[in-house]
Amino acid sequence: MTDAAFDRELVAALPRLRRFAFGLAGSLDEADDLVQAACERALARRDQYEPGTRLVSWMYRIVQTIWIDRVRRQRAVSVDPALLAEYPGGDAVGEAESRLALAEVRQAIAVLSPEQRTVLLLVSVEGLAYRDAAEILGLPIGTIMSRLARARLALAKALEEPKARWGSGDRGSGDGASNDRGAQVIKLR
Amino acid sequence: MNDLPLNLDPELLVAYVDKELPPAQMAAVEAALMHNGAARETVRQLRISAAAAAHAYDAALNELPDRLLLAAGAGEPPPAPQMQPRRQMEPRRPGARLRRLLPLAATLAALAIGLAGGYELRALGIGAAGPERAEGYEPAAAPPADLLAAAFESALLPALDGGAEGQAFAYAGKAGERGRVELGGRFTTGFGAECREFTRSESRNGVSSRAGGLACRGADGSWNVLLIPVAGS
Repeated sequence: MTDAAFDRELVAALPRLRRFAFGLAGSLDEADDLVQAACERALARRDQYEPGTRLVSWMYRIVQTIWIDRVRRQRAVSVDPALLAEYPGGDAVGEAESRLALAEVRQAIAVLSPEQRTVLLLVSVEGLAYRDAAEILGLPIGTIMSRLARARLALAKALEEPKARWGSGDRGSGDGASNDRGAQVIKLR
Repeated sequence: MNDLPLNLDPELLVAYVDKELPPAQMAAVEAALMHNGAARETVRQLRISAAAAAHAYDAALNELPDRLLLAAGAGEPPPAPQMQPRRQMEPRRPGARLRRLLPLAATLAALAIGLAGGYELRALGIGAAGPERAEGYEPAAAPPADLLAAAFESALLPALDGGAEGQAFAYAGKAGERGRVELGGRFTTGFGAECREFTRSESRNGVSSRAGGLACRGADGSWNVLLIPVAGS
């Protein structure tokens, strides 16, 4: 791979790497630190990259390695839930409410063990096949499956715990007039 | 080979949910699930958690900071992967990963960048439809869409796919706009379509409304949803 092609692919991978790092670190600032460090390491070790393999996989691994080193060094990076809530699912509009759900999901993921969180992010957020996740992490597929299953069940449990999401008296059953004018048909794919 | 008792442990079920098993094994798990309510509940949990996680970090796809572009040695920012316009409906390929990832991605991307009705997921009010189909998508500066309607659709899809009877899902739009979907039963029609009932309660700036809903899955896997306002709610 030429240097130019390498650079191009690296840049194209940035959004995904940043999303992965956001999931690992829990904040966008730390995610950017991680990705920046990973890019620097990748460029310095460009000769170790095996052409023909996916660059983005190699980069996921570098991000993950740097992160796990940091985690081990500072032990128990507790993610401040208030901090997580600051990063909504999108930024164009200023409504906090519609983002509650995403912040909740991130909080629930942040309390998973680093091992479970990593696998969950690679498979269920980054959309990688089990085989690719296994290769990136250097683990057997069976380990991927068991960590993923535990992570997903823990997440489901956390999300379904009854909590006071609804303000008092707001049960959606007030006596206001319907603002729907007629029947509506929607197609959901 | 299918005679062996299948051990429906979570490791196998997660691979089933993620469509990571070979076809024969997918079918074997599917068959075994019919007789195992506890495993079906596990499947439901594995599904909702996947749907919940899929877009939780999409904020990272917006606006790459310059320092990353510099670190990667480049000038031009790359397009964010979720925001490419899809002009045509793609044929659905059963089993493809994209099948479950793209549609939600589109809704949430539309929500996140405030598109005015960009994707084919937008509610198509029959009657009021008109030739409003978007060509590609609007620039991010477009006025925000009906956020509550968009949030309803993004809440409804995973609810229909994985929610249990009686389970409720909350969603919200702008400040003062919130809604709730409560799932009813599941049944199969005489012509073999899988359908679910639900109710929708919404409140917009203090004005509340209720609608009954019926969703049936078409042969291509998509849900066709009929919403009928409930009088005197």
